Amino acid sequence: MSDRHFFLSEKASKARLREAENARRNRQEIMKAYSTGHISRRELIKMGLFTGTGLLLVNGLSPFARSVYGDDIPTGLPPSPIPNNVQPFSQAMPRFDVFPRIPVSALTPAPTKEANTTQQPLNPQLEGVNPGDTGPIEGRPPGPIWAHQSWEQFLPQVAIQATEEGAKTNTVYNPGVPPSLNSGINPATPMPVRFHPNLPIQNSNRVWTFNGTIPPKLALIRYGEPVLFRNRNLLPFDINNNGGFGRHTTSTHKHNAHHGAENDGFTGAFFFPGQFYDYHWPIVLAGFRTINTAATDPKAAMPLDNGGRLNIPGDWRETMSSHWFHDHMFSFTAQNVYKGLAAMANIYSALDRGAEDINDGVNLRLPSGRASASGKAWGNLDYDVNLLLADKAWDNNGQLHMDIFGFDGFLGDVMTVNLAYKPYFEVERRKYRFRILNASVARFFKIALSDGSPMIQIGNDGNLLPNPVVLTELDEQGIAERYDIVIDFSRYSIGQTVDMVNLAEHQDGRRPHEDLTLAEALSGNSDDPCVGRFLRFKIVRNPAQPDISQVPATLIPNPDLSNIPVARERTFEFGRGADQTTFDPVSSAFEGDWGIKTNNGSMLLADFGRISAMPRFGTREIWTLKNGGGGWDHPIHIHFEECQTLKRNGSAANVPPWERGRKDVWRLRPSGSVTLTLQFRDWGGMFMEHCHNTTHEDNAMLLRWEINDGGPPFLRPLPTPIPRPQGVDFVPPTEILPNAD
Amino acid sequence: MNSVRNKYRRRSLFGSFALSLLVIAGLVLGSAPAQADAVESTLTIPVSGNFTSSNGTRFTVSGNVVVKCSAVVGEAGVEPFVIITFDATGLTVSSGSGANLKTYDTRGFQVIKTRPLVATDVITVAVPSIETGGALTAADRYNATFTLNFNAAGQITSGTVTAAAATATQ
Repeated sequence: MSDRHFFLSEKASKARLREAENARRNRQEIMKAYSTGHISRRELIKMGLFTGTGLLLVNGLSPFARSVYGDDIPTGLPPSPIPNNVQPFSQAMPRFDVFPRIPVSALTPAPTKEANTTQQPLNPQLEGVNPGDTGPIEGRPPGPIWAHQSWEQFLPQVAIQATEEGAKTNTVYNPGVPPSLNSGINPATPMPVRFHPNLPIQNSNRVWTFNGTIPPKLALIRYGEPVLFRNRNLLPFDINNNGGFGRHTTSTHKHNAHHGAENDGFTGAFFFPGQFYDYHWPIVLAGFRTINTAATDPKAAMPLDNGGRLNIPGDWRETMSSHWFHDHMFSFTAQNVYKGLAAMANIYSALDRGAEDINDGVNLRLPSGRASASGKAWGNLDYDVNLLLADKAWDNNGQLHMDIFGFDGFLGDVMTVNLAYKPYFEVERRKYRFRILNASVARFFKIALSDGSPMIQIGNDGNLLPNPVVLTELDEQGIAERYDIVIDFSRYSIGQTVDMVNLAEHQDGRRPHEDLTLAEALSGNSDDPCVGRFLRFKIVRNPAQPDISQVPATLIPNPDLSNIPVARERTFEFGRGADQTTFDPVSSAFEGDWGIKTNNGSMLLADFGRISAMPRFGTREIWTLKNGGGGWDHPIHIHFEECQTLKRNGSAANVPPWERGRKDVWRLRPSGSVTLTLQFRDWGGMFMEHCHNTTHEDNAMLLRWEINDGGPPFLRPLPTPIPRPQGVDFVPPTEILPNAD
Repeated sequence: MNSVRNKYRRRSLFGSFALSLLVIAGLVLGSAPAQADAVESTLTIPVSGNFTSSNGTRFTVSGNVVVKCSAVVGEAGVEPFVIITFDATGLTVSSGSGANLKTYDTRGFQVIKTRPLVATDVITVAVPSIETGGALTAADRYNATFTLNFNAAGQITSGTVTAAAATATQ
């Protein structure tokens, strides 16, 4: 490995490894103080330890500072130790752990339309709490603005109850498939939190996940069946008990659900340990108030347990299939998601019902499983596999480690799939669907199969494409992008293997430095430890029944928006050199470098009290997202509703086939721009737009926009929630940009 | 690990030592570097010849591949690079002859790759080949090696395509 690489090779000299380890330990103290709020970034700048772009280049502190052992090489980071008994493809990849679906009546207390403000004693370890203080049991901001919109119309039919807590052993693992379809993993075997059976078990304050366990969690939900997701924060009351990074207040964003803001995980609507937050997921088709309101279109339908369908209102062309949900805590999204607070949700519909043998003229019959075999008329996972890709790093003790110094983005040096280090997965000789999520902090992936075989991309960002696309290497996949693909393993013989390979080589968190060819990536010559093979498919047998799944030539066409006038066009430019112009209690301590320029205004750091745009309810707009530089890429995410990509770099011809459906995350590409269109309908409240390189997001490339003119209770503008353990205060917006309206 | 890509060594237009200094200088100065606009260029490369897949199918390929390039050059602190889009929509593919003649298409195949800007870049791409009217899942593929030449401004000036050995399955 080159001496110039960010992560040192294990073969680097002992002196250099010692130098890097000492620097990391020095940074750890600063990082812990910052993550627990004992020091602010502004104070670090005043102390001369930070510049606007990251840590000052001080040898013995910054990984970017010149090593004493070489003028032109950085100090670097010590490599994550991987013992000799931890070999790639030596452990089975665990499938996601399926959340139980429980009756709403099982929830105690029962969910309520407005936040439950029943008081409880507060743990004095919480910040700002005095003995005797009380606070509400639910962390959702109180009152009518944050009440569940259309609650009576979409009363929850099923509940999912989860916690956020520190790592613990899983004794109730439910993969939703038998061991034969889960690489032989016995779900009854207790599963402690570790990245490989021969790696250390993670301390409870180093890894935080939903329910505290691995594998990552999966919610199975369907259109027409509203869900009440109750999330209890069981993270440590003591803010200092975070293992050196992470923040114990959280806000859960379901990416990219179409629902009211009270359920969207607004970055400023966080809640505290000891509280719960009820997220109401109505699971509706966008346009339900205006399109197909009589629910007569058979393609807009809920898959029923008996194999039939129940029509629902809305535009079937807005059907979504693959979501994820993750923490969205202001300034700490990168740390908390990296720490493990990420999960996925499969959304089933009459079109994509997860039952490949139901041939009713609506069901697309994508690879999933047979209802006739399982008894389940929707949601079969047999041949429908979720993959969560994330690069991680650990310290000398094998404990998960993160480094926040350097605002370009944190890269890990170890590849994991479903939080397992370079695993294998057994497959049968037939078609499989893979829902691939990039859940990294700053790393992009570019996936190919090790023999160059074609893959079929059927979905982008959870939306089935208008037409499937045949590829031999997927496009770069930015953070939060979801690619649904189909691989046909019938081309292989039993006993053969084929690997997923990452072609995107990083030198830093700015962007991929280079997309290698397959041969280059397989050569072993890359300096990037996460380039190359990362998941091995072992072809183990023929399927017990013939593969009757299909990949139709037409999937889901885009809605035709040509008759909907464009009410407004806006531009957003994403870049460096941002200013903080407002001084609310939360963001005034904020000094990042990344910001957003709205409609050619100033480049501004995030302030969730500032309103940057106020689209009118019921309208359509065109937004152009511009990359303010050529040295980095930004995967930009817009909450609330899927968009259609109109142009890249000013031309529709530049939009590649796999982006011609609906999306909600766009890699702008260096010096690039994306023009898209979206609608603002059905719901109201405050939403977000931000870079999903979560280091950029936290430092502080994020803005708030809101829909606040759809009628009561939405005011114009909406007050900003400021949560405290004792309850949520509301303050007027710190600023409304002059051209927001 | 050898940091030099032996098989695919390319002549660099930008010395790596100078680049490292620029990167470090950019970090130290901490100021927003002046942005360079992307430089766009397009080249249509004719293709004609035989390409063999890993299962031994011999494809006769003709037509054009359109190569679009978007280069970032001259931005302070940024090593010049180019985003290359290969569009194989215009290829005509067949195998066999007479009664065994089969035709294929690429179904609008594209590949996009980010590459450091070098005078000559050699990039091997697996191109899918789907029998006309056939299922996407039955797609075969063959390897094509593109040799692309760029000027210092980042524009593609010329290029060729040749057949490359197929990649075997282990």
